[in-house]
Amino acid sequence: MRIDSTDRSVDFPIKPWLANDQSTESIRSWVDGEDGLAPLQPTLVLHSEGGILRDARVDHALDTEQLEHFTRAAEDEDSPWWVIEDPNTRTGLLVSREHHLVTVETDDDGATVHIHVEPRRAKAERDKQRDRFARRWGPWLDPDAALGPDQIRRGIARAEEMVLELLAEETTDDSEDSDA
Amino acid sequence: MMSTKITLDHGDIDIDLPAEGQRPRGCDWNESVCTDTPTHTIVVPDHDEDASGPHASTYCARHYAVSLAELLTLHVQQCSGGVREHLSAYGEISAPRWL
Repeated sequence: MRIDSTDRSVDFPIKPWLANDQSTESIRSWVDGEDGLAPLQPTLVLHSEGGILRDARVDHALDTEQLEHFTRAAEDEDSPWWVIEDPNTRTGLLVSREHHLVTVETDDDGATVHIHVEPRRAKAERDKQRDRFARRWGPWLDPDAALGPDQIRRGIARAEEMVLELLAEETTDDSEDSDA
Repeated sequence: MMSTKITLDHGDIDIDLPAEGQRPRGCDWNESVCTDTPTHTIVVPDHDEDASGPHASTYCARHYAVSLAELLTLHVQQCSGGVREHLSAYGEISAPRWL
């Protein structure tokens, strides 16, 4: 995968990988989550300036040694696992062809690159939440839509109620956890 | 106090920008241009290793409501951690409510 920007081009080799027996379960937890926790979502964000990489953030990625230790390169391009390698940070984002979606976004004329790997169902849920939000708050997002003072007051009240509702939910969850 | 101004000449359009540090703080909404006066604030914690402390954004009333709603219904729901991981304070600039 090659990403071109105004002053820099970056190649991210994508290779098929075959998990060995020991790593199959641990890798699967990346997709399914573990102990009730949300699945990990490998993410890479690179910022460059004047064609030079200025900073990078990598979450839930494997470093090259880990990749070599836990997996071996598959010759078969139908391998269920692929890895997106980043030569800048020498890390790899593991991708399940069946369960993951990869989102690549660029900003600042390509100087910022954001690669995000997430389970398909997480993406579907995210899209659903965003859709619900857009339906509820659509006029607020539209700079051409005029809102009256009462409408704005009600919107503020609703948003601030949500803070209290979420805090209350968390308190309930915490007390249920301590009772268990 | 004398104000230093930088003039950028864009053909027929002259834009006067206050010098660094003198730019008036407006609504921080960045999805569209908003020149309304900020009245409310959303303060979020800074989780970076070199964190310098919570970060406050200021918004006009309209964009405060929608920004707070977006933070709570999209960001908090999709990220790990509870509300306090994503929100430190909210409300009117003159009297923010701290969590």
